[in-house]
Amino acid sequence: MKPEWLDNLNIDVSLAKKLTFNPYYGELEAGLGETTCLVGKKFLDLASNNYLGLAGDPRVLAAARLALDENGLSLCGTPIATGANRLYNTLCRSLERFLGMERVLLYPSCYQANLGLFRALAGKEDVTLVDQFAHASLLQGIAATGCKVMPFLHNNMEHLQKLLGRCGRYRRILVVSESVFSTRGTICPLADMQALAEEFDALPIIDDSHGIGVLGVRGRGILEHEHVENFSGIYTASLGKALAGQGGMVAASAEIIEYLSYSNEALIYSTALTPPVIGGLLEVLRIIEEEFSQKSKRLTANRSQLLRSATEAGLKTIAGDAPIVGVQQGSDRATLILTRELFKRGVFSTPFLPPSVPPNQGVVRLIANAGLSEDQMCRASHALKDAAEASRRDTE
Amino acid sequence: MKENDLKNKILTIFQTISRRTEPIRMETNLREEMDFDSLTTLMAMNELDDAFEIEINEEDFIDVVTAADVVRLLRENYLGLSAESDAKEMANET
Repeated sequence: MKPEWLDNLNIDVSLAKKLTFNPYYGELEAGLGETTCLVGKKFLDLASNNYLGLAGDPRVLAAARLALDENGLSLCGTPIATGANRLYNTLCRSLERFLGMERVLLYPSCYQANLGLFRALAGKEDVTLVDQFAHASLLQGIAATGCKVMPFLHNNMEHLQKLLGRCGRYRRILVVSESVFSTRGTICPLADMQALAEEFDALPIIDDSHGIGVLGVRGRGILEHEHVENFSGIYTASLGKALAGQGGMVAASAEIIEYLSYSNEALIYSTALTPPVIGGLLEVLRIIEEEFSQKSKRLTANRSQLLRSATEAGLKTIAGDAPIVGVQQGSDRATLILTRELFKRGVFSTPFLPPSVPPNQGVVRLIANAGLSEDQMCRASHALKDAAEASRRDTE
Repeated sequence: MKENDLKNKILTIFQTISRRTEPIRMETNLREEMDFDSLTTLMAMNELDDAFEIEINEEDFIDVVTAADVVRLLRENYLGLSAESDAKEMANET
């Protein structure tokens, strides 16, 4: 017999049923490559965060295999116990050099890094000012501290400054944002944010998940893009997007990292990143050092073509500078319909519905990664135009 | 504070933080018509705190649906103004 409490665990999937299309948890038949296979068909991948197209790069796979052979599948322990072997520490040092930050800690995911970070840093006596479109992991991490929360208007430094002026009575002031906003492609003015944080004796925290390996002339992320040297705050990022691996990181001064390494439950109680993942990540960093310029050109060209096609197709796009094209569809229905029409035409995209976005602001996100060829981009453009037309017909 | 000043001040705050360009009216449903989510609501509360030098309890905001509800909430619970005194004020003005 079904327990009564299960009745309260309902998810409304009626719209997906009505549209005979559920875009979530689609089963890929293999890894990411030139094409992605689902339901026995080949798809163009405009959905994943594989920005540089390195997830299936043979050199990365070979490095992962070598690390597996030499270190085993897992170190079966947290970093504080058996999890931090030489390979693990090599990745920490490599990321420190890559970013120009003093120290780095590795986490099982950036979500976990963000959740754990705030609990270790803030409490009821503190205040956090956060961009209104910041990622759920940042918001949930902040909410878990019980501190006063002051959202500021998206990328609006004037509003941030005004709010900072009201924070004198709090013990600690944190200013939090993302480098690249994941559904919009807009970029945080970090240099200005850091200047304001310094003026008001606040600690800036930036999540560079969609910026690392993407922004800057050498792919070093938001710090390079914004010409921020000697960043005085805390930097977090995912290692599973452009870096094509898994896990997350926190970078900061030696004092902060020393404190976090003994006080942050999300780190202390989580099994360390595994050797094959670390081996692959080290190779990705090497490839970025050598080939970023060429991959970045491809990424930029693909993004421009996609944006042009979306505009020509009459779709309403969000004009960010990062290689993300957000198509604003509004209602849940219109968002799912465009995703479905793209899917029918062999394009895999990502729909964002509330609570991931505000109500009635559904977005279909398209990322044209550097691994897509000119021919594939042409196919994607045609599919986008056809799908937009079909979507309009169905939505009317 | 006069009723109209109170209303205008509140509407200006909501208009500033709203992502929509349509003008907000007293009967506008903030969530359904202006797409206010939890963060926008929190932002609105912070702005109201600052503008009126009060500290709004989050629980008081749970039942707020329209801008008119906010006017009522502030007038009755935070600013010590009553609808009756407003009516008298308006009568004196006319």
